[in-house]
Amino acid sequence: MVLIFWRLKCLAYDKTTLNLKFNGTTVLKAKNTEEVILNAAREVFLQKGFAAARMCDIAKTANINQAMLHYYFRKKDKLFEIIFEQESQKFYTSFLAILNSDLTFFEKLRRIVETDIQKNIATPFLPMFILNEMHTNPARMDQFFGTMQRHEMLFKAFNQMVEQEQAARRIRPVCPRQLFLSILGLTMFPFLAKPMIKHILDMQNQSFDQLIQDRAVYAGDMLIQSLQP
Amino acid sequence: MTKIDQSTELKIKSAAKKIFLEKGFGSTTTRDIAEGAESNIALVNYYFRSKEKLFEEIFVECFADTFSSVARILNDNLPLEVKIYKFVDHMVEILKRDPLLPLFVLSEMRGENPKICNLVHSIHQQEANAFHTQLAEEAAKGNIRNTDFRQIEMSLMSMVVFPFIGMNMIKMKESMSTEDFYKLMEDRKKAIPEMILTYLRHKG
Repeated sequence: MVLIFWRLKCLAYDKTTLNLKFNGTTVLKAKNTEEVILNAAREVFLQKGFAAARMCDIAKTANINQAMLHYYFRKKDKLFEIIFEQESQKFYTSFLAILNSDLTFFEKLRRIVETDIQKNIATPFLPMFILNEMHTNPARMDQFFGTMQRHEMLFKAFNQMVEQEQAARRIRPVCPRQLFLSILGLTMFPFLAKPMIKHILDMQNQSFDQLIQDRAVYAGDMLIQSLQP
Repeated sequence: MTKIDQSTELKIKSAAKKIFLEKGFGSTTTRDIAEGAESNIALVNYYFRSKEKLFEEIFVECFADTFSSVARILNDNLPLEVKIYKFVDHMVEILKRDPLLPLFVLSEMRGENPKICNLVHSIHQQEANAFHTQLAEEAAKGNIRNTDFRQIEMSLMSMVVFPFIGMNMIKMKESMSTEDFYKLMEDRKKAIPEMILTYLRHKG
C-alpha cells in the first residue's frame, strides 16, 4: 500500500508538455500524440464544423482510442478553442510580420494577398468554417475575441501605414477600414463561393484552381492599381 | 384555392424562410416550421409535401427575386460608371434587408443541389452577358484596361458580399453595433465603385 502510494506520488504529469513523469523522468512523451490529435481535430472540425464533429471522429482520424483522447483533451470545446486560437495566431503573425517588414506599401499589399490566398488554397475549408461558427454560435466566438489587443495592434499598424502613404501622395485618399474590408473580401470570398463560382462559370475543379492561382497575382495588382493617386 | 388556404400557405412559407436562413436546411425540421407558422406538421406536408420541396420553392423565389433585379441593372443601357455605382448600391440594399442570404446560399450550394445550381447558372447568364459586352466595348475604345472580366466580376462580388458573410466577425472584432455596421456598409457604396473604376481606368 505504501509502495503504491509512493509510486503514485512520483507519477505526475507536466502541465505544459502533458508528458507523464515518473520520479522526474519522462515515461510517456505526450508531445507527438498531442500533435497527432490536434491535426486530426483540425481536419474533422474543418470538414464538419463544430456541432457535427464528434470526439469519436477525432479519435478515429487520430488513430487512437477514445480513452486516450479524453486523457489529453477532456472536452470538444477545449480542442476547438486550441485549433481556433492556433489558426487566428497564424493569421495575425503572418499579417503583422509583413506589415512590419521593410517592403514598400505596395509590395506589402501584394505579399499579404498572396500569402492569404496561398494559405486558403492549402486549407480551403477554413474561411467557411470560421464564418459558419461565428454565425451559429456567436457567444462562443465572443470568448476568442475577449482580448482585442491583437486585432487592434494589427489594425493600428495598417491604419498608420495607409495614412503615411496618403500624406506622401503615393496613394489616393481612401478610408483604411474600407480598404481592409476589401482586402479580406478579395482573398476570402472566392473560397467561400467556390461551388457557386464553379457553376456560374461552368468550371471543373482543375480550371477553378487555375483561376484561383491567377487570382493571387491579379488581386494584388488590382489593389495596387486601384489606389493610384 | 380559397383565400384562407393561401394565407396559411404564405404563413408557412414566410416562417420557413426565416428558419431556413437562421438554421440552414440541415438543422431545420418540419416541426420547427410548423411551430413558426403556428400551424401543424400535417398542414405543412399537405401544402408542400416535404421539407425539400418547400426549401426549393423558397430558395427559387428568394433567389430569383433578388438576382433578377440585379440582372436588370447590369443589362440596362447605362454608362459603365453609373452602372457600377447603381449595381453596388442595389446589392448593398438587398443585403442589408436580408443579411443572412449570402451565407445561406453559399453553404447550401456545398450540397450541390442541381436545381439550385442550374438556377444560379441561368440567372448569371442573363446578367453577365450585357455587362461583359459593355466592358469589352469600353476596353476596345481605350476607355478602360483590357482584362479578364471574370476576375473583375469576382472582385466586385467579393468586395460587396464578403462583409455580410463576415458580419459577426467584423462586428465583434471592431466591437461595433448593428447600426454602425450598416453605416460602414453604406460607405461601401462609394468605396467599392471608386476602387474598381480607378483600377479600370488606370491603364498602366
